[in-house]
Amino acid sequence: MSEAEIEGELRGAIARLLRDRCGIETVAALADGPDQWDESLWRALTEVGVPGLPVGEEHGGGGAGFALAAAAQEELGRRLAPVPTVSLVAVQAALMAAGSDVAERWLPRLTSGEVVAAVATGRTADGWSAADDVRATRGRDGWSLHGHVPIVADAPAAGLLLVACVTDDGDPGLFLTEIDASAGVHALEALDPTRPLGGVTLDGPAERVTGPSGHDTVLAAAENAALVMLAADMVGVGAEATGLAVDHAKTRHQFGRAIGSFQAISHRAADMFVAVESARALVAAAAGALDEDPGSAETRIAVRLAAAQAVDAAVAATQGCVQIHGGMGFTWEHPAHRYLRRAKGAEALIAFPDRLREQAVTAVLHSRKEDSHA
Amino acid sequence: MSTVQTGVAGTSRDTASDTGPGWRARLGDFLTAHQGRPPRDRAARLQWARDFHADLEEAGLAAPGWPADAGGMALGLVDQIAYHRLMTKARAPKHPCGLSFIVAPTLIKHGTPEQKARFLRPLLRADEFWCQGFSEPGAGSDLTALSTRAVREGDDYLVTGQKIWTSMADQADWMFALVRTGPPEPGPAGISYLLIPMDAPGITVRPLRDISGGAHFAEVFLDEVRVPAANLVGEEGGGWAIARTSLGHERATAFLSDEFRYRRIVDELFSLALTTGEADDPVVRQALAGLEAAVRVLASNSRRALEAVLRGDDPGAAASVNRLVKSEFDQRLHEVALRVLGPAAVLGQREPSAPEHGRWTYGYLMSRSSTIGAGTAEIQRNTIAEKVLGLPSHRDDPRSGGAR
Repeated sequence: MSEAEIEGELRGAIARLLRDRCGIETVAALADGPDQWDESLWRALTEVGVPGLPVGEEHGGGGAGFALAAAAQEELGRRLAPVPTVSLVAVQAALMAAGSDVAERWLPRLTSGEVVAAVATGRTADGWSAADDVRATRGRDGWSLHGHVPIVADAPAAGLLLVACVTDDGDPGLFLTEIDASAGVHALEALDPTRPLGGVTLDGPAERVTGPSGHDTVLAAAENAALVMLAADMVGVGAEATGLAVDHAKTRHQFGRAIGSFQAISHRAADMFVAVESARALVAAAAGALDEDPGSAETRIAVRLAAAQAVDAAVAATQGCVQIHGGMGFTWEHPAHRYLRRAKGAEALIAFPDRLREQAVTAVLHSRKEDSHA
Repeated sequence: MSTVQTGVAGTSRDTASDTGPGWRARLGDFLTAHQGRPPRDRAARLQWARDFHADLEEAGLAAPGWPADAGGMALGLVDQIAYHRLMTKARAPKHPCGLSFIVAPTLIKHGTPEQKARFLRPLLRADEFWCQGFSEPGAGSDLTALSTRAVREGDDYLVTGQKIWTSMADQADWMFALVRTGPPEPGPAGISYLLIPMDAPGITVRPLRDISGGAHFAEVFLDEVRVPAANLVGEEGGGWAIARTSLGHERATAFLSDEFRYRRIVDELFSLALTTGEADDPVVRQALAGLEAAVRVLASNSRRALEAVLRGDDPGAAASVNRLVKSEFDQRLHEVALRVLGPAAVLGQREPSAPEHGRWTYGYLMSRSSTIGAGTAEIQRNTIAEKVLGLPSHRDDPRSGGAR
């Protein structure tokens, strides 16, 4: 089978599963109900191997790489699937980059879907950093973490947390610590209820994933993976929102004609489509770059430009979807707001698009300067 | 799931097996033998390019994608891409008349044996140049409103009317034109495709000075120009359907050269930003990042369009998206460039002290046409809305389902 055929089969399989298990009514009921995420959907996705897609076969994964993991995430985004793949893949990427004993021990459990993992970090203009209010302490029995992280994506679904924080020695550290949704995780009301958020209080044992020398590489691997997966999610959200808007514009009649025949509508729809397609092109390139050369400056650039484009496209498409639906798009009953929430939530989740562009352009200009000095 | 080689955006894969017996070696030898710097003098440079392409045709190394009976090499798509790469790498001169390759597919598919024998070889050799006579003052986006009349008289047509936006009109030996042979009502019916000799009596070419102050286009006035009926391509009244004939993969391969060019220009703009110091401005940096993203979208989309063609799929959506992205990107690129120039952006393109000989200012003015020529951005949006998204047409056309 060619790559395109494999991707097509994977997308088809996930799309079929989601059609049965993750219709918009199901998503709406879950979002408006007490549950934080869709555990039964997660089990079904686990059975078809979704949690292990980017992980190598030596760790029990599918060895499909980020390219196919991103394709799968686009399908999940399209259906607003309330499952923690973005966070999980970020942790998997970190553990693959670390290659330490701790990483080797945990990877298979994350790959099988047995354990869900999430990421707790701080955030600066340059990206992920040590969490502000967490300290890692080395005691007689090993490391322990103490402190609080105010917002952690997917924490209510997670049993394991990758924490970036400073150690007693003042070194940057990356740790794994087990968490429990019933203790230490305080569920937050999220703008996007399909991606649960938690405040996490840490006060217990942890395992160090990598020493100070590997810290930057491993954290960057997690951040790159999270950005690509979120970007893929946004392509799905944006594509579906565009599709909904187009379908509505074909059937809704005003002034005696379909509103989609008015160029104010059709050109906006064309722009939504172009933005989403452009994002899909960049996301495919970025996911391919992650597979081929994960640590390079070029990959860092590709990932950030893709994520910025995808988030912007999704926000524009979901806002356009609300607008084209008119008054109906403003109601709670209509699903348009659920797509808008997913996009707008994603915009703020890891890094705002302007920050990502700034990071990318810094790297591009840096490489130009090096070229001119070479 | 088994282990797969990933890299959706990786290099193109040779799924189609193209075999051109020895063409690579022959082209390699040819390019080695034809190495050399282009002459500085404009006329000498043109002659140099003409000679190159005449030799290329002589060597049987012209027109990689054309069928053999049209004088082409009949290479498959993968080999065609390799061919273009080799030519680009060797800095071979471009064919001096790009418009020739718009008329050629129509001739190859719809021309008579006599027309093919007469026109294709001189066209490839750049012995004869072509200009396009489609647009008229009253027929721009709606080309079917054209009104240049061709009246049959014996074995000839008498052609009267006006064409506009005709590039190369002053250099061209021939014009491929759309003319109205049927009733005068606007519409695609009654439009014919005619080959008009530019030295025929009754033709006046008047240069059209454009926004940059230069004359890249001309107006062509036709006053009872006598054209042999044998120069009709296709059926009388059947011109509209064959006007946009393309050969196989042209739509997919057309983006390749643009992609390399835009990559280079964006790199040059980044260098300019470092030189002027504007690269330190956060707003400029956002704009630069946007361009970097756009140039990557173009590259990635062309690759996806190519991959679709290699799979045997229709690259339609990716191609439509790229057209719009490209025309707006070209404009944005030059808008940002003037910002990056800083205070020097007030200078005209001919001012001797203008940075880089005024190229960015000139480029900015010229880029205003990228959302107008070859389909306005508005028409391109209509195309995406109607052909890709399936939205009803804005025109009150009962067939489109627009009105109810």
